[in-house]
Amino acid sequence: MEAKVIVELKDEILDPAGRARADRLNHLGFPEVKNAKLGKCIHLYIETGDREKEKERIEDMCRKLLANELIESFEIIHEKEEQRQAKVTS
Amino acid sequence: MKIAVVVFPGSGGVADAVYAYRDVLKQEVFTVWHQEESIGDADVLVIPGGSAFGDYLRPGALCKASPIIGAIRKFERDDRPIIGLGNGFQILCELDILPGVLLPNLNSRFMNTDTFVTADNTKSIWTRHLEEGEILTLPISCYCGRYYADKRTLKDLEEEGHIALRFCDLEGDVDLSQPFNGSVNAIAGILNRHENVLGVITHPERAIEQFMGSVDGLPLLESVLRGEKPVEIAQEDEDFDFEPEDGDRD
Repeated sequence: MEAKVIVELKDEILDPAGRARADRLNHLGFPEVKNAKLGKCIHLYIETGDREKEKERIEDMCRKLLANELIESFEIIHEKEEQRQAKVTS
Repeated sequence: MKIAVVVFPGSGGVADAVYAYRDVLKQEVFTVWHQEESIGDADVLVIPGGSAFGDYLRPGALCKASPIIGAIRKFERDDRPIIGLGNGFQILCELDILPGVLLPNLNSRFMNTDTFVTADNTKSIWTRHLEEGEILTLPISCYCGRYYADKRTLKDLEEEGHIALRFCDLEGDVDLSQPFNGSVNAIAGILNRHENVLGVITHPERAIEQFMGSVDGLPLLESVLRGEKPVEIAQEDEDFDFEPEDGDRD
């Protein structure tokens, strides 16, 4: 199984690195960009065979290490096997 | 006293911490590799600066999985003194031994400069050699030095007097509206609930000899070794020098 974990600073936390990107995009002729957030994407490759259990365990990984919930939120995107297959063949 | 300095892969400040306690403060110092499970018979534990595990993910975060962490937690629970210097502060926050977290500086830059900090708590084992409001010149060297905690934690820190140091200006004034590097309440260092653990984002171990430009780090590092503040002794010496010159003895 493959899963992507997206970790981002929460909205209430000031993100100067994200803001700098938005500012530079504005200067490059993209005034429609009002804000940007700089996050992390962690791609996990997991092998246990039990999909339900894997999902639980990824959430556990996020809470224990991958995200600091005081300042960050996380989103888990479970890549379905068929989607992955399509990606490989395209 | 026996001082243990914990070494993680990437802990670049180990030599500074060892030099401070062994060569300047004349203590017995040994290092402990992060793969070990015991701190031995140390009296004081130092978590040095640098970039443990390359600061990957978040500074200090990857230390959570090291075997030595159990011994560090036990050291803290036993109310024995721990100091986290720079990255050491970030590690202690990630381990939840200290509350809060360190975010990137507000200007998104690696800040490598001398800063002014003022003492807020002067009673703990780590800060009892400081005077209230005393201004210290200490270097900072980090990208993630902006302390952040939620409102409830901040309220507790303020009410219980667990803020050890705050960033200030040359006159010692603390500007809460525009703090240096964006730390909430201008926090530069905090103590845990039992006041045996101190985390500072500045580097007192790099301000201990005149050639370093400041010796203001000494009182922070040595108060844990020398017991009560030697104020009265200093006072007596002063009187002793003063009286004969005064001529009142006749």
